[in-house]
Amino acid sequence: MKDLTLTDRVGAADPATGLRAAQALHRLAEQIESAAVDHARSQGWSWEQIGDALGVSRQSVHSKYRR
Amino acid sequence: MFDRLLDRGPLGTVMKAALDEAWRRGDRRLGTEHLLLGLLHDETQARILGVTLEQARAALDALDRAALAAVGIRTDHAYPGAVNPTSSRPPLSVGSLTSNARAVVSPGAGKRPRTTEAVLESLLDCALPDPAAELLAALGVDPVRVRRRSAHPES
Repeated sequence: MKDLTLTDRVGAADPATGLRAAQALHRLAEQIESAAVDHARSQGWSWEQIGDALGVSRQSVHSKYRR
Repeated sequence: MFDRLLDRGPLGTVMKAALDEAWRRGDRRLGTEHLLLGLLHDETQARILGVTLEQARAALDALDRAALAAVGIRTDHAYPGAVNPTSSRPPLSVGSLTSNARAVVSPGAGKRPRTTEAVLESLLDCALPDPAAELLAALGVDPVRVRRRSAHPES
């Protein structure tokens, strides 16, 4: 049991559980991204640098988080 | 067309509360579980269901944590639940209803909008794996008893 891979664990669970976990992870990723972008901005990172770090364009990160 | 649901009456109030609950959780669509949370903003509906809004929010968070744990992912903080208060509000509208949520609130073409009582009835009819059914089960809500209370809300 100790060596179960993530895929094994998802395969062993009810589909509703795996799907709920995926949705919860999406939300967690959004929270981390939002907090990390705020932090980077407060440290003087440019939108370009943040976009590069996230693997998205400067425009997309700016339009998502500017305020 | 669903935007009309926000404009009027008690159902509009429930829909607005449901959208707030979806946003608060950071969900991208409005599902039946959010409609249930929206109903619980109303004290009469909460009394009929026999649970509080806080209990329902906590139960939904517990389901999320249990699902993450089942696939081997543990978080050591109070996630999921609270949205980062500094994040901008995502574009979420009544157009983002899941198909089940749409079936619960929309009576179909040419008919009058559902009442909040009818929405509660429809939510009680939901079967697993519908998210509202899962949440009601997690809360230990018995649909038969709720229907009895619903018929006599003052008793």
